[in-house]
Amino acid sequence: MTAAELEVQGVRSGYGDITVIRDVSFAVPSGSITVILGRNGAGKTTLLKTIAGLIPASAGDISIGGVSVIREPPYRRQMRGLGFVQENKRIFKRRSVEENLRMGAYAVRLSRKEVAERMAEAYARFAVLGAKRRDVAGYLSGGEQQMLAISQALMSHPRLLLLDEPSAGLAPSIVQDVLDAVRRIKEEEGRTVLMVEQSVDLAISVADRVLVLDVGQVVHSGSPADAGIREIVEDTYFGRTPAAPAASPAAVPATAGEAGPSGPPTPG
Amino acid sequence: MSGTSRPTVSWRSLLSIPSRTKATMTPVLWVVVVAILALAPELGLGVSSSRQLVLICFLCLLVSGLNLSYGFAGELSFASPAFYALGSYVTVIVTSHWVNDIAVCLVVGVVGGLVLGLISGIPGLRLGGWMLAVTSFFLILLIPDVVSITTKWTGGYQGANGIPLPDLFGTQLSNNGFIAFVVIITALWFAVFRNLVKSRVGDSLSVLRESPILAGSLGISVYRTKLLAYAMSGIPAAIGGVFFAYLLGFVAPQSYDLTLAITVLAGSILGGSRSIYGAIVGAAIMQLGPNSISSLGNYALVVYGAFLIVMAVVLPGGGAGLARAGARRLRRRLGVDEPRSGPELVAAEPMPALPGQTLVIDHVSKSFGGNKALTDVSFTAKPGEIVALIGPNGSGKTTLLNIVSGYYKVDEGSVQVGGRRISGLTPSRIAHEGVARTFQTPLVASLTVRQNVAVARARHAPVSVIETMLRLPRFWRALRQDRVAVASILGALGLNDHADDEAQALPLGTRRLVELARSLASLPSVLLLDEVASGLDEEEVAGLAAMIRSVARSGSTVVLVEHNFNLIRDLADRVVVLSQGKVVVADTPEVISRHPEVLRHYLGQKIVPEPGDEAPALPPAETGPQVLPKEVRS
Amino acid sequence: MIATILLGLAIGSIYVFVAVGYNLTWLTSRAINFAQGALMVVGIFLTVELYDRHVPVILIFVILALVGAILASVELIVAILPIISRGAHGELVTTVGAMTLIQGVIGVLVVASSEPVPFFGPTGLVSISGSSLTPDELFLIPLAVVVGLGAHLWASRTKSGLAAVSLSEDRDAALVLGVNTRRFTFVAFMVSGALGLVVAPFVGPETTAVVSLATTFAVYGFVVLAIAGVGSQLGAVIGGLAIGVVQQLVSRYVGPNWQNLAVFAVFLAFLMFRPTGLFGERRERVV
Repeated sequence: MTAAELEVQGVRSGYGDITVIRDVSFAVPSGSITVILGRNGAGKTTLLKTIAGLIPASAGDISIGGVSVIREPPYRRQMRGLGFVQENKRIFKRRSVEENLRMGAYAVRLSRKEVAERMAEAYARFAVLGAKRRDVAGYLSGGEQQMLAISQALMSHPRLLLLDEPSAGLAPSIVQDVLDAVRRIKEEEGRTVLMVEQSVDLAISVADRVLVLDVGQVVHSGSPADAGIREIVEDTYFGRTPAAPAASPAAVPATAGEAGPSGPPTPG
Repeated sequence: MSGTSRPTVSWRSLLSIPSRTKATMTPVLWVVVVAILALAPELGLGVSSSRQLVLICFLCLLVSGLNLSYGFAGELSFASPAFYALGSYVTVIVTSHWVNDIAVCLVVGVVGGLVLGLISGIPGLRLGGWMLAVTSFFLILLIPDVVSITTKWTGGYQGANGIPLPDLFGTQLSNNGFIAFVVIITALWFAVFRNLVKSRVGDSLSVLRESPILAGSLGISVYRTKLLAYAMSGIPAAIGGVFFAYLLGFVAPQSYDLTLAITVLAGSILGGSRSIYGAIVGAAIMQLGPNSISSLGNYALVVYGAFLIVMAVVLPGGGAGLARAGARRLRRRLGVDEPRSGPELVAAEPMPALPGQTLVIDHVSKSFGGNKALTDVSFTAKPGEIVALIGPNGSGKTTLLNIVSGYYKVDEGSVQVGGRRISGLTPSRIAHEGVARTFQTPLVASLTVRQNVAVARARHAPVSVIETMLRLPRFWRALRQDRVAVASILGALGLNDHADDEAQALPLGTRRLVELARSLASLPSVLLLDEVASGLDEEEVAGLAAMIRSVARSGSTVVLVEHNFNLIRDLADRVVVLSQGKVVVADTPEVISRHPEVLRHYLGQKIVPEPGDEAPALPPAETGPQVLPKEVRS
Repeated sequence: MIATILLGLAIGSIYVFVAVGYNLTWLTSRAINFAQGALMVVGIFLTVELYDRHVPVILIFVILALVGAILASVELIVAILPIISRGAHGELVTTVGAMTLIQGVIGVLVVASSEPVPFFGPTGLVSISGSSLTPDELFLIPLAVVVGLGAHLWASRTKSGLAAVSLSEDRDAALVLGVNTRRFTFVAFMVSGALGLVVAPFVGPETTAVVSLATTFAVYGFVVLAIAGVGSQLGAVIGGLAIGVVQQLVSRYVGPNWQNLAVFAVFLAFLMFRPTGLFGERRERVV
């Protein structure tokens, strides 16, 4: 059994007095793709940010490659081989494509040649970036920005790559490119991927394992081939899971017409 | 405490004095205290103590001005020496070239102070951030230059001698008379200052200070209000300057320097900048303490400098902050303020009638750099209708909401309310057109629930600053109307029990209701609700749904951005589905929930590339004004 | 006329130093050190002290740099870091407090209220196209250009500069890429502190050692920021030199009491009509 690249144990976190992630535990095997599904407000982004260190965890532990990182600031976790592609394409929009890629390699000690090699890798992965290497990133289309964001995170050759809804708002054909790239990242480059997704189909097409998150807890974990996964996810969208925190015994609604629990707020 | 036979003063009884009694006792107490102080020299207060009393009054005036600008409106100003100097030199010029009358000097000084405030404030506030503070600081550097240039009138660096003893309306004021006059005028200013702060206008200053974004959405013009507060902060300083000149009989530019500015700042912070009485306490301590030691010189700067650093780091609320926290703890210990449970989700009152108007989104497009956030989005929402806006992350919902409320400008198309074009207007102007909104993370000011809600009423029952300060009839009329309106809205939302609680201390669900109440208080034509149900439990969502339904039934147009599909199914008359910045479909919730396109875009079922799908019409980062109440300065 | 302009450029160079210091710390931590001018004055007085003790010139520069770095670091730790996330003018109050404190300490320690500062280099006037310059003036102007240009090139051409600029644009994104933001803040403060003192042997002979310069420098530095746009180092060079020239021209042809007023007028004009400055970022502001 492959070792776990990432282990999350009993983690709890949130914003101010709002608890978003209540008690999450799971492990991501090395060299696999794990996808976290769930509707908005379930806490998927909060979970990734907690793993990356942008949000402090108030309980639990997080280990990367067997080393506990729960007390470490984000830049230290990056040094342990963590890469994070945040949602909404958080690249440096006022800098060029090239500069963005360089920033990806910022924390790694590389010679000029090595940096150039990795940039060539990025251009090979996504041809359009090579064509626009001098362009200011803010003027790229959304899909191109997403590709840049992924390439930027890959510049440091992370062992563990976190991706937050890489397909959000992209046209279906571009989404396909992005997914293929993610698959190649795992298969050809051997990295471990933990990806958040809204789309069940996307998840199933690329994942080795699927976790379903609802109101800050894992309500299902298993193989994408599991029967009923689609229904489980749909249930969370329509508020039909028993995971609601304020649920009284009689609160598991039998039909979709009843008011369902709503999740914690989507952070701004 | 109960059960003792000896009568003791119970803290409990002291703290739970009904506010009505407090309201009548306070002015009486003021008058008594002021009378005693004004007559103190007559009653035997010694010469040097009388002088201290007067000097304390001057510093009180200076510090209170800073409190108004900094503590209440959030704009730090170093201009006190400049206004002070203005008042003094006005006295020099008026008494030597016109007439010796302290009242005339005061009037001219006040006018001059306002003019100086506007000259420095209008450009200073344009950029925001520290620029006003720097502009005000610059004024200190200019004082010696201006005095020197106008030597003929001001006496230059040597100073101006020979200011006569003050006359008031023809009669000369005796020494004691002067002191009494100073005390009375200072007290009058403080009364006016207090009137301003303890009012809806004062509350809107707090909102402004804590969240310019929220202020804009409530129709408060950030720029104009800050300008007003800053310009007015010069008035007490100018008054003090007039008195100062008469006291010394002599005016020289060296008195109006950095040390004075720092003394005033230190006094403000010491007493608590966000406090009326704190100004008096801080000023008194500064005057009786360091200011009295004339040989302090440079040591004063060392002490003040260290003090500023320590206080700002350790006790940002100053003395008043400590006092408030202490009082709160005491009340809690004595059980005077019991913690309350959640809001009763029962409407005790009917919803007021709301003047709904039609909202038209007309072919709106918006790009951020290379990203098309919205492409040709159109839909209409009519009064009495609830329209839900749904879509996955990156679909443009928040961008659209921010465009309607005025935080972003459209690239193409327009937004109309009741036939009038609102796209292109500032958020506060749009609020005046009747658009109200809530925020993803509720923005409530550090005021009570009642105060938070009342602030939104400024549009409908406007009261000018003068009317507020002087408590003219229009103020009282508006206050009464406010009370009635706010009570009825709080009743309609089941918030009566929390009316006097501090809004920021309430749980999330209740804060959302407070936001809703506040939006309703502005009697909106269009109500925008941004994920108002997120973070709430089942019960709260059900209660909220009932409220929203009654809002729509009372006539308002409601647009709801939501993820909670059950809520939408419950409430919405129509659902508009956005994806990748375009409207996919708009129909009733029933149709939508079975619509294959929606399931595809929203839940992501079955991604099958379709011909013609290559065009990169892609949405950008959605960065709306989701700022929490503690905003970082720009 | 030429003489006045040259003098203006020399005085303006001083403002360039202040503004460059401001920009450095603003870039990495969004905090502007109001005490930057006070630090420069410390440098000037310290220079006088060290000259009096016949300390070799090279050592003087080293000591100045070290003292500057240390003072700025202490100020960062005590007066800025504890409140950096609180917002609402917090750092303005504390850095003004620091400036006041430093001024007070200098006032207590120093006997004479104003002292001339000797120049370590060649003495005697230099003649340029009919007007005479003192040698320190000759050094000041190119020094300002070098400092500003250097800061600009660092930000735009080096790896750490790119990191600083990126960090300034999106802190969280920089964090996950491994940028140690805390270290950047420290280094920026140390460098701006060292810069403030290291230029003292050039600035001092021009201005003489006077405590009140601390506030003049501080305010004028902001004027430069208003003209140039916060964050632009090249703009700081142009803005600083321009302000110096305006100041001296007005002083010479209208009167010394008018120079501050003239600069104030320029300041207000920029705030009114070009608030983001000549080279500042024009962003779609939310409010």
